[in-house]
Amino acid sequence: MKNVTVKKPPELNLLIHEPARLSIMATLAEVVAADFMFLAGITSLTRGNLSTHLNKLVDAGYVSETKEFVNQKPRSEYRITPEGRAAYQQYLADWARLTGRK
Amino acid sequence: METNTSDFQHPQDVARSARRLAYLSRGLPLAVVGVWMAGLSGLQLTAAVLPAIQPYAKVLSFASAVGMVLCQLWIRRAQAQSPCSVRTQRESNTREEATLFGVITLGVLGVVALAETGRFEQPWIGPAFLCLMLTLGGAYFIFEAFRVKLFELALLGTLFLGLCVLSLYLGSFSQNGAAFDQALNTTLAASGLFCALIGILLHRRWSAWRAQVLQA
Repeated sequence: MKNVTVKKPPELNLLIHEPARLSIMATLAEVVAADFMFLAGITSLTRGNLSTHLNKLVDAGYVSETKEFVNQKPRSEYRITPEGRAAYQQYLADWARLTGRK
Repeated sequence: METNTSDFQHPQDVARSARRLAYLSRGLPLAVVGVWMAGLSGLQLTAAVLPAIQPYAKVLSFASAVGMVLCQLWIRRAQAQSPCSVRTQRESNTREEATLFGVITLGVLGVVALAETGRFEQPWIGPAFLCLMLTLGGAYFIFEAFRVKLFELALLGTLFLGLCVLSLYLGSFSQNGAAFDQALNTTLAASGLFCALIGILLHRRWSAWRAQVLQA
């Protein structure tokens, strides 16, 4: 009997796979830095929801956060980290392999 | 907390929106450059008619160039610190833009190297190089306009390509110095105004989007 080796499908990074976090990662991968309000606008998420998803990405080390006060108002700026960029590229590659798209 | 899958936006669509908004956010600096270009060319045209102001025109041109750079830095700083801001770094983080800048840099280095070694003395090299750069710039902006669906970028690309054709046309009567200068300054003044108009259109769309986000 011939041995058939079945290639295991790639496992998607579930932290990035979540639609809201995927939107955040896609945005940050495209720009150098974006502030909280810009991300809220582009992802159409509520501020609370966005904050939670951003915290998860920051905790995972995929996104870095810079907080400062401008005119006595807090302002947070986010950037994708090298690890985050690598994870995002890997996610896109895995997704393409799973769906058969290049 | 998980988001409903009906909210799903394809990452490419999100990236395209981010890129589009980054272009919109650069409307104000573009408008400033356009106004400066038109003002400077207007000043040169006036100085050609009124020789008495020629010494002042040179000083004013230099001062305005410094002022324009300072103004750009100030706008950049103010925009970066304002709520709802996005930052791009000379667009070097994407492949095709890196390729474009790479081609331009290599081209500049090549021409400089050839000029340094005295390999060419043909007068057409300079204008030809300028035309190449303008064509590349124009083609790039038109490509981007289709990609991010931004009409104003198509206008900018058309401006670049138009300038390329005009520089070829102006090059054809470059033997007559005064007529060449006048034609060049008129072209630059018109281009500056056009550039300012495109910048204002971009900035208006950026302001509208920003206001919507901040109000939400």
